[in-house]
Amino acid sequence: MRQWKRRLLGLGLPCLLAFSFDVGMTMYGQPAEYWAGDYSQTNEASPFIRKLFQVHPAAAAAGEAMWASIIVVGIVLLPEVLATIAAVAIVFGHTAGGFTWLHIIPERRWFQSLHAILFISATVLGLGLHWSLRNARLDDVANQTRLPPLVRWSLIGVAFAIACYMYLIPQ
Amino acid sequence: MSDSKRRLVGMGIPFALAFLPDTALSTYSQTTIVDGLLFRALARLHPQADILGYVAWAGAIVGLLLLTPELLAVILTIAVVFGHVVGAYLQLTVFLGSLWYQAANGLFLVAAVALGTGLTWSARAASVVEQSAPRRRLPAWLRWGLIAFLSVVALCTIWHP
Repeated sequence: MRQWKRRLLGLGLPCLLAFSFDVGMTMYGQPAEYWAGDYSQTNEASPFIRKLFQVHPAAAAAGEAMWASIIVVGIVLLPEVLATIAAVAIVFGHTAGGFTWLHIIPERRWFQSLHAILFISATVLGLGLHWSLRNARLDDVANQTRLPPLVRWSLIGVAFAIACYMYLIPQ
Repeated sequence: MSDSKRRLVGMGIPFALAFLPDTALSTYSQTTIVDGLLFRALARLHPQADILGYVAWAGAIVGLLLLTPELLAVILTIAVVFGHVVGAYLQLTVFLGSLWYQAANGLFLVAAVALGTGLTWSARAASVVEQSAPRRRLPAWLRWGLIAFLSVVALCTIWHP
């Protein structure tokens, strides 16, 4: 199997599931006033995405789509160990992000919910990582990306800078 | 390198790096949210007996990391590291103020560096271990008996009915 396909399946799929959980909960958790058209009433912790929510739900969806494309770029182009680290960080972040929305479910048992979500998340990520890392041994050299190093590392640099702006730098 | 040493380094170190700060913060702040059956029983014995609970938890996890099949050990490592990072983060929220969001993301990134490096190294080293001398394994009944016992200890530690 080609390296990019293996990475998208083994590392990308767990990221996609965690991302969908978080984004789905974020959309579901917006108050009724927001969906009635008062976009200042948004409820979102991420400063960057909150700004987009305040513009329009479509702007927020576009921001999330941009983030999804950054995830794909990172997972496909990064060296193996860095791609693994990125996948773990993304799954952790989005799982925790989705979990913070469970307060909208009444009568919840948050500690048990946390354990259940951790377990599901770890199972999906563990299966993906295990499968991907095992198969990585088979296609180490022959299947590397064919992009010129300058293009590859420039894309990685741009994706990393945007990710830092979105999630690590106070705004 | 033997299989058990590989697992201790590749999976045990990320677990220790997440477990120690979470446990230290919980013990220091006396605001532990772990309220399992084992912790309740220990708390009846002595106010600071929760440390014994943490030791039992760490021992059970290390035992399971060594004894379970590779895939289950990987899943367990991810689950316990994630759990302890969330635990440490919950303890830190009081001090973080307006920077809590960036701090949480930074904490997840640091945990991912330890875990991703450990698991990648472990997977690569596993291929070398598999090709070298055959592993010394416990008899199956003893191995699975220990796995069952340690699983019960771990569940009793975190189970909160």
